[in-house]
Amino acid sequence: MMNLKLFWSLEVIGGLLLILGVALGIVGVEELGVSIPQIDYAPFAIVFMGVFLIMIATVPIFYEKNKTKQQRIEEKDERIMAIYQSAKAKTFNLMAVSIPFVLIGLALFGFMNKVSFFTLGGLYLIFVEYYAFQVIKNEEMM
Amino acid sequence: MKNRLTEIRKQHRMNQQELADVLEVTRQTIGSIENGRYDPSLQLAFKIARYFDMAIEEIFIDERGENDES
Repeated sequence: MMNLKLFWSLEVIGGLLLILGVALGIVGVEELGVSIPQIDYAPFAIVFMGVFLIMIATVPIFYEKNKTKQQRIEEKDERIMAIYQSAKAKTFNLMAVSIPFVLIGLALFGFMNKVSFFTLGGLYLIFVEYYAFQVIKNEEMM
Repeated sequence: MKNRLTEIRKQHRMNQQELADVLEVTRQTIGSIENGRYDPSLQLAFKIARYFDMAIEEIFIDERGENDES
């Protein structure tokens, strides 16, 4: 059973962002008095975020409400869960190996500046650390 | 791991879908277990054994265990 409260919260946040984006577009972003490069894009970005949140929340809510018995069984079926977990694990391995090569390649050929290189590299290291943390946590649990 | 699930299911005059409905798994899972492509969890193995009122060892045969003993 999915956590519907979370999706309803996302739906509300998405709605609020949508209203905020439209309001900003009507009133004008200059009224905010914030000096951010490319602030003109702010209403579009906020509306996009709102629509995106509404979309990702609506699909699971509808799915959960109209779920058949067969779909409930499929959701809990251990073989199907194992199939998806195995696919995810293999994809993670592939990503863990390929991302550093892609990052270094892009940096060496000058397609990346220092900020984006270290931001993405740092994010990658955080994910690797998180993986190690999960391994330790699971070792303690099992 | 080998198993006698097909044989036992047929003895009980059930098709894969009926057994799947009872065990609350998909028909494909029953098919995969019967073909030996998927080894069920201990929980599902117990569920199957309990449903047919048999011991797990009567349904599932651990070939490695048998080889170790000999």
